[in-house]
Amino acid sequence: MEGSCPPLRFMLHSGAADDPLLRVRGLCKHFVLRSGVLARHTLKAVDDVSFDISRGEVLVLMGESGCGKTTCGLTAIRLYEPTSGEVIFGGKKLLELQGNELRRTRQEMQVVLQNPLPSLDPRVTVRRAIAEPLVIHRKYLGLNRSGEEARVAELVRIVGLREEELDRYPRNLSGGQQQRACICRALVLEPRFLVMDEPTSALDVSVQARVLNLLLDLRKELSLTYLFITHGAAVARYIGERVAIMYLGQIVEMGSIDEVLDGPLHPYTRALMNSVLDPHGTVKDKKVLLEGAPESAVDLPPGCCFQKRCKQASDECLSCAPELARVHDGRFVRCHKAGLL
Amino acid sequence: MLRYVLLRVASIPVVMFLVVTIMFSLTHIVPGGAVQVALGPHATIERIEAIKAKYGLDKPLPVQFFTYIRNILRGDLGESIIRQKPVISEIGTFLPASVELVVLATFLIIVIGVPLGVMAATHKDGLLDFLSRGIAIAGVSLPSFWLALMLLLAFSFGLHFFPSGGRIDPSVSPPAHITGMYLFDSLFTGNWVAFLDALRHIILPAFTLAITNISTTTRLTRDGMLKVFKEDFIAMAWAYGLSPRKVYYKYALKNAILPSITNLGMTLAYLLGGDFIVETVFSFPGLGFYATMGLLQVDYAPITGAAIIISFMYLCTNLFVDLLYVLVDPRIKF
Amino acid sequence: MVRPTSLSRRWGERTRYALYAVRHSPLSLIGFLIVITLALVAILAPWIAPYDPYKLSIADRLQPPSWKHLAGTDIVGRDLLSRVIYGTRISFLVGIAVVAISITVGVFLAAIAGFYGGVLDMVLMRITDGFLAIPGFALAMVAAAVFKPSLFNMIWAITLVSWTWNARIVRAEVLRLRNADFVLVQKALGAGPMRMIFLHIIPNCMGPILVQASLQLGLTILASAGLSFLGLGVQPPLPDWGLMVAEGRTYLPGRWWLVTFPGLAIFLLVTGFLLAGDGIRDLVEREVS
Repeated sequence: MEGSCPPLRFMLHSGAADDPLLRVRGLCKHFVLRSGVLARHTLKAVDDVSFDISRGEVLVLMGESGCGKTTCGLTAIRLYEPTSGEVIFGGKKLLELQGNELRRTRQEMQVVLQNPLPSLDPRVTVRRAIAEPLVIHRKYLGLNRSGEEARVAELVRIVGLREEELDRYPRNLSGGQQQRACICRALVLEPRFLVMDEPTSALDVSVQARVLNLLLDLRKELSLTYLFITHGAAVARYIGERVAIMYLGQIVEMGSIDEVLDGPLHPYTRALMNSVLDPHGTVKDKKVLLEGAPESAVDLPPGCCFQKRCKQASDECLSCAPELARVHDGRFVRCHKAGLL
Repeated sequence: MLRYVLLRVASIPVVMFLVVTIMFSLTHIVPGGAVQVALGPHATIERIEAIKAKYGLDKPLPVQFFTYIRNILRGDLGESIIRQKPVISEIGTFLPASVELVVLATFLIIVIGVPLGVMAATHKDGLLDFLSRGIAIAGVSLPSFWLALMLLLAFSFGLHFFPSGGRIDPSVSPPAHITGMYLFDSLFTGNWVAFLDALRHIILPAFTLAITNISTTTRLTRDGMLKVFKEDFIAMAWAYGLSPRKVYYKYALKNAILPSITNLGMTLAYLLGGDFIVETVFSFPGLGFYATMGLLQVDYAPITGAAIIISFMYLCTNLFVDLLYVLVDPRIKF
Repeated sequence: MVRPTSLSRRWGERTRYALYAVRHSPLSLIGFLIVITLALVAILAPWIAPYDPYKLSIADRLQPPSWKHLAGTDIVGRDLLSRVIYGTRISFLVGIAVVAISITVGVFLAAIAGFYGGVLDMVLMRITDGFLAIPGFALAMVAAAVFKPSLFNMIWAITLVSWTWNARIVRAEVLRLRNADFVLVQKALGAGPMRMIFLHIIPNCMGPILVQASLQLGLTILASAGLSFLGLGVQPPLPDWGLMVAEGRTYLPGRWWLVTFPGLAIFLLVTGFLLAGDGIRDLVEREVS
């Protein structure tokens, strides 16, 4: 039919239904820092991270500032080159792809960053910014001009931007609108996987809920899978199904949202949950509060990553680094003393 | 910090190597034989061949390049084809004059530029600000050769205050050679006649150099002062009831002066190599004059020799200034 | 506050912004006026100049300024005013040629080196260091002397010196921008490096490049005047200002007009470019903040 837009093909991706969409094993991202004349330090921003994300799932990556969650998320889709590890996306070995094949695979995995304004080229109108991915992949998509315009129009409508906002420059839009534009741009290639790095943290509180709801709606309508990075428990509960808690570059606990946040097993998660302020005003258990300053991941000593701030640390914890152990199906903890509290 | 110093010092030979390579490449691409051009159309073929053999110019390029580098490291910068004299000793006689000129010019820049900048800052957006910034910009836009000629017209031919060229009057004998810098040497030996004469000769070129390079100093002083004015300790000085002069000079200027000082270092370095035109117009026998003569006579050894020496001095001065900056400002860390 | 920006309104916004900036900086306005006026002089030279700049007239030689020859005549009787007017063309030609080539080469090399980093970047840095170590004018002089002096070769000689300056600035900007969020997103979208560099990073560097270009124009004209004065640039009988000062120098102190008027022209044009450059710099800095 003339004038109608081609159906969005989000439902038609191939691949076995059972396989996880994203499988990450032993992902490491280390930075080498130099200071002084000869000293070299290693910053292990991401260290031996492994997780699976099933189709249609929302995995929340949670932790304090500096724990490496952003680096982890961006390395998993190869926006940063990993130091080592394996990533299998939709059955393909992501880290071995090159050139055009890599570029085409990138269509299926997109990213939305924390600050929308720096994510947009200040010299480009919103309309052009959203349409640009279609221009980049023009050869492979096989859409003509009107097809491109129609797709953009449809997505713009879904995302909630108005026509007159499209011809503005990013600096002339509000934060919420900018973020919607970024989301729209991320969707225009019909990806199946989105990494969201704290997409609402920079927005006004009133706008946050709207954008989160939008993201949930989009997920249902377009069958998306999310890796959602955040540092807030409330947001995590609202949007997430499963959660992985990170500390100093490692995953210390993983499981379904309710299990982990309501019944944490790792000392860090326990302290984290206890320090969350709730409307009733009191902190429940003073003994489990976090002490010490937030650490840096430079030149970590052997043993558990949480040893310096853990109340239950013993000699074993100082010398032997615990593995991410399976507690029961889908539930993992990295601690020698898990559950012994 | 130490690492930074070592790196900077180590980079000098690397850059010098590049400089030498660039100079060598430029002078050896010349079509038509450098020797022939230098000796002029009347030179006989035998003479040309003899000179070529003497300087090894008939050997293949890579060999020449290697020999050249080796000679430089030994301190031999070649010989002037026209005068058959070693370049390094010629430079030795011309260099002190340039140094003297540049130092005097820098002194003038401070003495004129800084007060101009202060004046601009204290009368911000007023007529004096406008004027002083205008003078600063005019200084840059004035072609140095034109300014030199205008000054000569006015003070030398017009008013006969200053001589029109050279370094010292032929009738006055130069002072005893200590550093080769006439002003310093004559002061040191108490030779007033020579001192005054040398001063008369050097003042116009120094002034020309100063005026054409004032703008950055004035601008930095002005910007620095304006920034310092906003600081709280200045408000305190006002609150104490200190006189404007005290506030501006004793408190503000001391803090504002740092960027202009370091820029002065860079200016000094720049001037060391840039005063070709001024020296030529005033026939002032410095390094720039020497190099220009070499250029016009297309005598390659003096040209490359002078360029290398100038670059080396430029690099060292820059390094010195950078290190000084690090020492002086405790906030900078590496 | 959200401001509307349809196409015509965008231009209205820009004009209003420019007028505001200019009102607050009369010096730069003067600069722009000077440049535009002299550009017009250059374009309309055949119609403005009272005489043919090459026409000799021995009988009229070395005349002081008069009503017949407003700026006097030179040693072979050519009208000085006409020569100065035609000299505007040469100055603009040299300036624009040098700056255009410098920017092109500088942007291209620096963008690639800055973006990819590593060995490429190091090599570029060392090369520019080498060129920058030799004081610019010295290098230009050497280059101009080595190749037979002419207008054409002088342009190349000055370009040889100035491209490094452009390269440095562009490289600094590219380094700053290549880790920016919007470039990272481009990578996620599958953009190739060429697109990232030339469609996204470079357009966002235009501010500093423009500022530098206007200053460079002024300094290039100064340099070309200096080179021509020394005999290493434009050759007679072309009416280049620097050359005219050199030609007139031998007739000092008597015939002051031979040297004064060409020099004034140089001064005027360079001042124009520098003031305009200051204005552009203010504009750019304001846009950033």
